[in-house]
Amino acid sequence: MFRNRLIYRLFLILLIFAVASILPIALMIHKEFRALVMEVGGDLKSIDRIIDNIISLSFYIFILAFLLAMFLSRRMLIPVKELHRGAMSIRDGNLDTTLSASSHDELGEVIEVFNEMADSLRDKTERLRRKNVELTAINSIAAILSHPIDDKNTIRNVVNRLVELLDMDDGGVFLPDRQGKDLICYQTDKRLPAEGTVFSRVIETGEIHTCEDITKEVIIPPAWMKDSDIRGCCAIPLKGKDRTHGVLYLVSFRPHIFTDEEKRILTSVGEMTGMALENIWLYEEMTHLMLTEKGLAEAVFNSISDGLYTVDTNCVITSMNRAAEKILGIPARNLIGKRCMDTIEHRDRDGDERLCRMECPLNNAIQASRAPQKVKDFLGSPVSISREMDYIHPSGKRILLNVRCSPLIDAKGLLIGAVQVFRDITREREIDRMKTEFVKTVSHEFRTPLSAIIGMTEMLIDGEVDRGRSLEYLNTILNEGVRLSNLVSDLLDISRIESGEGIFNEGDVDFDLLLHYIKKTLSDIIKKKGIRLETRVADEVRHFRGDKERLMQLLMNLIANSINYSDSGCLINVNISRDGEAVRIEVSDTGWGIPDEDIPFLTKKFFRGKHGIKTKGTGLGLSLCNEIVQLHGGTLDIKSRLGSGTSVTVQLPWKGIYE
Amino acid sequence: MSKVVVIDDEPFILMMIEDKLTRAGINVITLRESKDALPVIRREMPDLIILDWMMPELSGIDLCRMLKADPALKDIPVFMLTAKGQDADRQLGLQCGAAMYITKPFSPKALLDMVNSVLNPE
Repeated sequence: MFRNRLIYRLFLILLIFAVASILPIALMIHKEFRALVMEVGGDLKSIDRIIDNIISLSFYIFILAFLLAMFLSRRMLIPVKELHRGAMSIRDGNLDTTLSASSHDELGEVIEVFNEMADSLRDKTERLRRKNVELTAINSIAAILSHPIDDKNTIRNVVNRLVELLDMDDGGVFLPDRQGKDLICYQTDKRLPAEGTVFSRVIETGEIHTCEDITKEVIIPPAWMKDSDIRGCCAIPLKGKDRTHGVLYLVSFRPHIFTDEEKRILTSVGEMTGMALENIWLYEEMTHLMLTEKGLAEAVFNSISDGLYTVDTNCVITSMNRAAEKILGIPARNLIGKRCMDTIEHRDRDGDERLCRMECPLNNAIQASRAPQKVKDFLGSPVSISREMDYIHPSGKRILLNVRCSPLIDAKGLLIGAVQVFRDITREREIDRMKTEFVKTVSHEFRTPLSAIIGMTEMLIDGEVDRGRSLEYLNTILNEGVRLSNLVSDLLDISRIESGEGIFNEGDVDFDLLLHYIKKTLSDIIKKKGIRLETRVADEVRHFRGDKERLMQLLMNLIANSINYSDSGCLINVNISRDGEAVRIEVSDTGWGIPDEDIPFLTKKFFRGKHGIKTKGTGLGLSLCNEIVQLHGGTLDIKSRLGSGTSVTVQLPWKGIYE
Repeated sequence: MSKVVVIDDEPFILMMIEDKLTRAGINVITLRESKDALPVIRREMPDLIILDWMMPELSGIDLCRMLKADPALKDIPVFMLTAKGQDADRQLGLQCGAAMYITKPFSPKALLDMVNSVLNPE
């Protein structure tokens, strides 16, 4: 109908223009008709009047049509302009634009359609906006969950973000305890019974629950919620892969209508948070497990007292334990990543040939494991190579190592390198050497008195000794027996003191008396060697308390050493004085003196220095002296110059008779 | 009459050997200081020398080397009588020219037998 009317109006406009075009036609006809009438001699006046009337009428009609066309055109432009304005407004983002339909024709219809389109656009834009808000919210939560710190912080951040997004007042998370009896609030440790509340129902069903106003709805909120001013609340299941791990709740002190978008957000966040928590716990469990295993392995690795390092198949060091660092004297960081033959200087035992490649046990272990299976079967599995070799310590010290090398085979049976375990056996070897030396020395010291006992007894039994001589023989046997006994006693004393089993027999010590006895005992040798033994005991030390038997041994050994390690005519001075809170015993001589290199080892058991070659002894004397001094809590200091003499100073903490 | 020089810093060893060998009719000269031994040996030219190893100032093994290095004395048999009983010591003693290496404690009877075996080979 509208269309028809529009056509009609257009037709009318055309008609007007058609009528308007009559005027020139009429004028042209008038001209031609007048010429014709004039030819036939008719009445021109009536013709002219008729024509004039037609022209006047046409003119009026033209004016009228023009005005009408103008009016109609203007009426048609109004909705077009409106449409233009609306389009421009929508282009500028004003989706609230509504056009007024000024007509009911096609343009009015277009305006109405335009308005419907604008409404639809507005609605879709609004939905898009809401969706965008929803996605932004979910994205912000996802951002929190994608960088989890730990479960507590993650939960706190998610809850805070949701409270902010949904304009709530508070929130939290409840998780079931291990026994499943209670739900525990992760933030406050608040406990709820695991059954009978809306939270437990959410965990059971895995469905979100929202409540606009708990005072108006039939739900079973937790007691603490009922007793508070909380109105709006929601409980969101935290869903993991196979189960619901807990419930996240949000509360508001005002009624809160949860929109569908909010519900969707909450559901998505609940699922994301549940998965994130599951991942966090899994990660923590794995990390803990790995740390435990790694920590254990590392602890074991570093607790091994033997040095240990591993190399790859190119002999590049890949790992090293602390003992290895200590023994080699090089930090692991300086060795790892470098070839062992370039950094660790092994030498042939007691030789100068550097061990590398052919002789390197590590390399040999690698090569051996590459040998054909038959060879390996012959050698036995696993192929392990052991040897002793020297190592040149960065300090220049040469140490003896016992080295065992084995190939490293991975789980697939592939050769991935070798492991070297080594031990510093320098000290062990030194102890072995000292033990051997001790056995030699002790057996030597035992053999001489035994010669008297066995030989002389044999001769006495065989009756080869005169009666007058036999007493001398028996005395010698007795003396040598005593000598043997003393030797055994010295050994036992040292052993006893060292083991802490020695009894400290404290009593009054009369140094004058001790020195008198010693002089008497050593009188023969003193006389024979023309030794001058001068003693001086200060009055202040007369009431010293100590183990006199031990101190007797101490003085006897020190003086005997001065006698034994000196030439005839030597002067020995024994000076015992009070030095503050200590008793100072100084035994000095003008004997052979001791080489500097021997001095640090003098108190070590069985050590016999340079002079040990030409003098008899067990190497126990000074060791025993040192033990006795330590038993008294004192110190022993030896100063000597080769060729000039030796001075031994003992300081014993003062312990008086009346203290 | 055979002559034997015995050098040891232990007096009872000297006494015991002297008594045993003298009873067997051997002339025994005893010395406690090894450093004084060479002139005595050169003067006495004994048939046998019995030497202790461990002696102050000049060890028995060094004295043995000196004896073996001396053309006039090198043929005098030397017995090492010592408390050093290790195989290595024995080897060293024999390498230095000792005819016998006897370790202490010893049997005087066995020592006499060994002395006789050297002095009277038949």
